[in-house]
Amino acid sequence: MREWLISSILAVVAMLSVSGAGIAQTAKPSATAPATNSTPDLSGVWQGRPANQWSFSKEALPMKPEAEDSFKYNTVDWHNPIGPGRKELDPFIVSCAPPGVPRLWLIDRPFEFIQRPNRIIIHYEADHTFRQVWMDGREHPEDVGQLWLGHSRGRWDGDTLVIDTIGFNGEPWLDNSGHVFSDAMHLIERIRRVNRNTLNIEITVDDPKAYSKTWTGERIAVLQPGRVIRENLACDGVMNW
Amino acid sequence: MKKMLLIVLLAAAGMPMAPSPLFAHHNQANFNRNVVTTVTGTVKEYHWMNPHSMLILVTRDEKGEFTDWSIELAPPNSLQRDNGWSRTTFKAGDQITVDGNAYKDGRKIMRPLKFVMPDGTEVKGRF
Amino acid sequence: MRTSLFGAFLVALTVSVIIHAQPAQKSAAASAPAATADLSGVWMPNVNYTSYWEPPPETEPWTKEKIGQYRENVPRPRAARQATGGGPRPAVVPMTAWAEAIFKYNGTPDGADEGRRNEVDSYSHCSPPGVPRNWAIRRPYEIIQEPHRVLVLFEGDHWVRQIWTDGRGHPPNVGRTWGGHSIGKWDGDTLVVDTVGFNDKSWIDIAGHPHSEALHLTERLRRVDPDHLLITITFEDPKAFTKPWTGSLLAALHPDWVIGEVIPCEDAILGHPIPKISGMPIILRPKR
Repeated sequence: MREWLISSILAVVAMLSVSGAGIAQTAKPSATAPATNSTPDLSGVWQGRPANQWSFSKEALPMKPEAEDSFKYNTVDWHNPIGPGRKELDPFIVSCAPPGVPRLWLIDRPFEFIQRPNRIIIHYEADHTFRQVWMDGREHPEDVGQLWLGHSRGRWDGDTLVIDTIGFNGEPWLDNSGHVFSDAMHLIERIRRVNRNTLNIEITVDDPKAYSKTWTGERIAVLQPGRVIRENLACDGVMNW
Repeated sequence: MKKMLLIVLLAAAGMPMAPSPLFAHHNQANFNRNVVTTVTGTVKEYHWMNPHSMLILVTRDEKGEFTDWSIELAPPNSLQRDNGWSRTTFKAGDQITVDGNAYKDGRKIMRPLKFVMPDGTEVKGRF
Repeated sequence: MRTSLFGAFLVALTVSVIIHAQPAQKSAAASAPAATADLSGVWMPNVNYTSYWEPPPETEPWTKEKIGQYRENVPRPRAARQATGGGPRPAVVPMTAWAEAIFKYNGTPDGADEGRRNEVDSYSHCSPPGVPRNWAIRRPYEIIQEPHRVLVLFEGDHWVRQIWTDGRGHPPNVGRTWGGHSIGKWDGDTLVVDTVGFNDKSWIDIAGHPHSEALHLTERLRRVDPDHLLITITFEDPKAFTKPWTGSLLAALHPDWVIGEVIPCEDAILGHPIPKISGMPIILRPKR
């Protein structure tokens, strides 16, 4: 009888602790629609690190002649060969052009992953940009066109989000250094949460017009608990065509 | 500095000027709503872009002289949803007729009310 | 006997704790109230609204005819004055002298697009249309409901509105932005949004009515039938308006659409001469 009592009390206590933990989690303002038990959870606000990462790869990129000409033009006379490209030629700075994909990962502003049933929305603070990564198995549209952000479809490969993007217009710089890409780029991004606070973003660039072979690069991002994406404009009221 | 200036000038020399006037969100009041102008011509250029897509038509005026008409269209997503158009709907050389409202000041720019497509079908103009 | 009774009491206590734990979880989370309306989907007004309709009386039923009327554009003031008969009326904007002077400068005294001075509308210069003007533009927007916030993705200017529904208030240093800071709560079938923290750079409509940094908006979003969203906006701005006033517009559901990419002013970005920006030399797009 006493054992029955004790186990009942323990059961009540256990019940209360479980409920308490549930309340604490859902009350956090940064909680989003939870990923299901079976899909990894990338949700939250992240920021790329280090702040000044100029390109995705420390190695020289396998540029084809035309792309190399553009890169040289974007960096000629620049005192720092591995630093930022010439600001006066950077379309993001000079014409308020979208930073584009994949350069958005290198802009020093946070981004948020929002996991919905049929897609993942990536909301970048930089230039108030959002991408929709379709997770429902749909194909790229036949007439995908020429877009600044391309058309993205994604799937889970274990704990890694694999994003497949085509349909670029080739207009933005590839990175902050002045490397370029063409409208033929086929971009693969592999995103994995290596631990609670760290995201590893690996990009694979397959662009036969601009690069003689496929190459990979990387970006790390760090979780920003409690942070929200704020309003940001590439050119605030400065444009005056 | 001098080298930079030289590069700028070279770039300027090499850069083709945009063939059409600036159309970013300009005033609908520029078009004469009371008069419908009809132009028939050949497509020279077709620009699928925001905020307004554009068709440049080569037409012949009353004197028989060749002249360009700019047809200001709706943004790409609107054209796609409303008309089912795409970036390949028109090609250079297509023969079309457009009824529309032209610029009040006489410039050869119009917003379309109706298209007669190369295959003869009529489509509502979207701007 | 006593032990059994005590045991029974414990069971009852356990059961009651379990029952009460459920609603406590919901209210403490404050993020998923028992009944929220479903406003989710891709919506778009049928027209580019020049300004706003006077809100319809709540008691009138939403017939097909009424929906048709509110889907139409608000007539220009001169035409509105000449109109007879019933039906919706354009909302009259009670402007202060300050706002009236700016409104006259922005367009003709008649306002409403015809004669609007393009060169002073920041939206014509690739700035965001701002809030609430972006509801009134004929570009789709998608409402996405999360437990702690409502997101609105606007296609027109790839704009994202975050309406916090987790019970938070406005931050003390709310700032001055194009979109302000929005908090929302559900009132039956209506999402009620409270927004402050605006800059004064946007117009509230195409007609060119201005607002100041003191603008405080209350927006009410409600589905009047399965396919139509009524957006009713109360404007309070003691610098611009002599009293609070309310305007409405109607958006229609497009269940098959997805929000696409739109980069405003890409014509200018892609090929036109780039003007002087804060001391930078004029550079044409570099030839690749």
